[in-house]
Amino acid sequence: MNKEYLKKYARSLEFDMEDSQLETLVSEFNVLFEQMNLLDNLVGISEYEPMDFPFILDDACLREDNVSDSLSSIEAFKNAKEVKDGCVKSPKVVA
Amino acid sequence: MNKSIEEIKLIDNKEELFNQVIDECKRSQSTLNSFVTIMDKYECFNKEGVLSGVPYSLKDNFSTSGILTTGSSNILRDYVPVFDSTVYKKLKEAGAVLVGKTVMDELAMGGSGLTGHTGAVKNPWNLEHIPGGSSAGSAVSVATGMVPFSIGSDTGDSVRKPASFCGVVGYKPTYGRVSRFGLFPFASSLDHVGVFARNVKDVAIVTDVIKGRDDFDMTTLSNDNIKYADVLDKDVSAKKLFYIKEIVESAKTEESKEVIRVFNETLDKLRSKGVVVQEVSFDKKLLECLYPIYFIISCAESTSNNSNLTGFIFGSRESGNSPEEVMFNTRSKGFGEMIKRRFVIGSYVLERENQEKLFLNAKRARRMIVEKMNELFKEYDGFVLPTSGGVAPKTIPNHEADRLDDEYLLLENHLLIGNFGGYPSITLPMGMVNDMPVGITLTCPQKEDAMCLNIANSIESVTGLKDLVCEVK
Repeated sequence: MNKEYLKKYARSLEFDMEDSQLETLVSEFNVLFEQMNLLDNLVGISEYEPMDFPFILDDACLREDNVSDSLSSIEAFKNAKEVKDGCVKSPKVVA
Repeated sequence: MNKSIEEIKLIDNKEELFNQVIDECKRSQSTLNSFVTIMDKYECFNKEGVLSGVPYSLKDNFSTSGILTTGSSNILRDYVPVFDSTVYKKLKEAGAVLVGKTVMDELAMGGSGLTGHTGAVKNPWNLEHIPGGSSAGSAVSVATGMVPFSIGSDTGDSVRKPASFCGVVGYKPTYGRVSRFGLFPFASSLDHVGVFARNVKDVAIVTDVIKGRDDFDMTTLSNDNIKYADVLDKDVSAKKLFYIKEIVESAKTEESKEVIRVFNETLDKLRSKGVVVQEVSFDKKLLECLYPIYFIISCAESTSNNSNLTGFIFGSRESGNSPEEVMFNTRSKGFGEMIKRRFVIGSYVLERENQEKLFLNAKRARRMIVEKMNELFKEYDGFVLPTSGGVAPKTIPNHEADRLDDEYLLLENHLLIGNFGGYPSITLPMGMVNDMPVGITLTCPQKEDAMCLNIANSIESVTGLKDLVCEVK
């Protein structure tokens, strides 16, 4: 793992990272790879199913659909950065 | 204001009490920095409710309609939700009065209390030490007596560790016992809502209010129809607990050995009440995998859960000449260093070519641990361990907080077992080491919340540390 690769990787996640931050990240990856060997070496690990949740919910069921009002436009605009003519103004997408 | 919930309920003028609490919260800000937002208006929505007029604080990752909710991150520094989380809604319906939203580690990742966008939270017992995180401000607001209870969230130890470092009770109920609707998700398979208070009874009273099935959270459990506050005094003399030999024996420093001494003393007192406590051996290799498992699963889930933080839909937005540039600038400035590192690692382990070796193996190892624990729970009612191998560590620069370490610190990482298996788990003060509090953590089988609180109440009675308060001079 090296800084150049991780910088490119961060950019694919849509953020930038400084050089010193990348150095920390490289060392974290080195630790991570070492620790992953611990998991690889657990006897019989391949026989276990991956665990997605702590336990199976035996009484899970879908709720009934209930008709209700959605957000009012006043509420919907509360977190919009820009509002124009009753619409949310978004960044220009098509050049 | 060092009062229990029941004592507060006897006070006639709750609005006057609220104003006193607010003054105290504001006064403490420059020293402790517990709050992102301090409320200015007394709002009690149910004068007849179980918690009518009782002040409390709420971690800043619970949605509160019309009230700033930042997750202590710059990317959400101006986000005001338009809906209530279920927990907040239930507390409003019970008449509880919100006094403030508390500082946390950014987006609930991290265990120091140092990485919130409004600055580091201080430990009231010693301002040079961390309070622990991520629910740092919540723990501090209870430890100093500002509020009788606070709500936090716990994905690895984020309620129980700060509870130990600040000398309060911190409870993480069974996975699904409390709805997470409106809680900012960190790692969905590990996230729990938790409660802080200064005694077990107050924890039980609050949990009784917030628990229960919720149509807005499909992972919630059916109500168990037990009022936890009513079963705290049940006889515990037939209960059988264990502790893990390899974790206790991992104490190497003078301080951790002192913690173990206090722990053993507590166990002896518990035995004198008729509780059986036995030593059990657990595969050390598996215990050493606890943190790597957590790190991989939580990074992967958090990367996915936070991908909606783009600057478009909500939250802060930086300028740019294209949508990509807007997103890039927003995320670059909006996330702190530790968050970026975790997202890169999370995304890496989710890559198709890495999934089998990294992500899926971590999830397999998680199952290995949970199955072994469930096997032990067939014979035992729970296990106890020191919450940490020492007192709250000294403060470090926030960019150095929560780095992945190559040391296997079993005494620091065992709380993760509670999240892997969704077990009810509670931390409470057991003594003082170097003039700072240290905690004991009890973890019980899934869905046995009532028993967990019952045994915890018994532990509290032998430690003599009920209603511990730290007044900051």
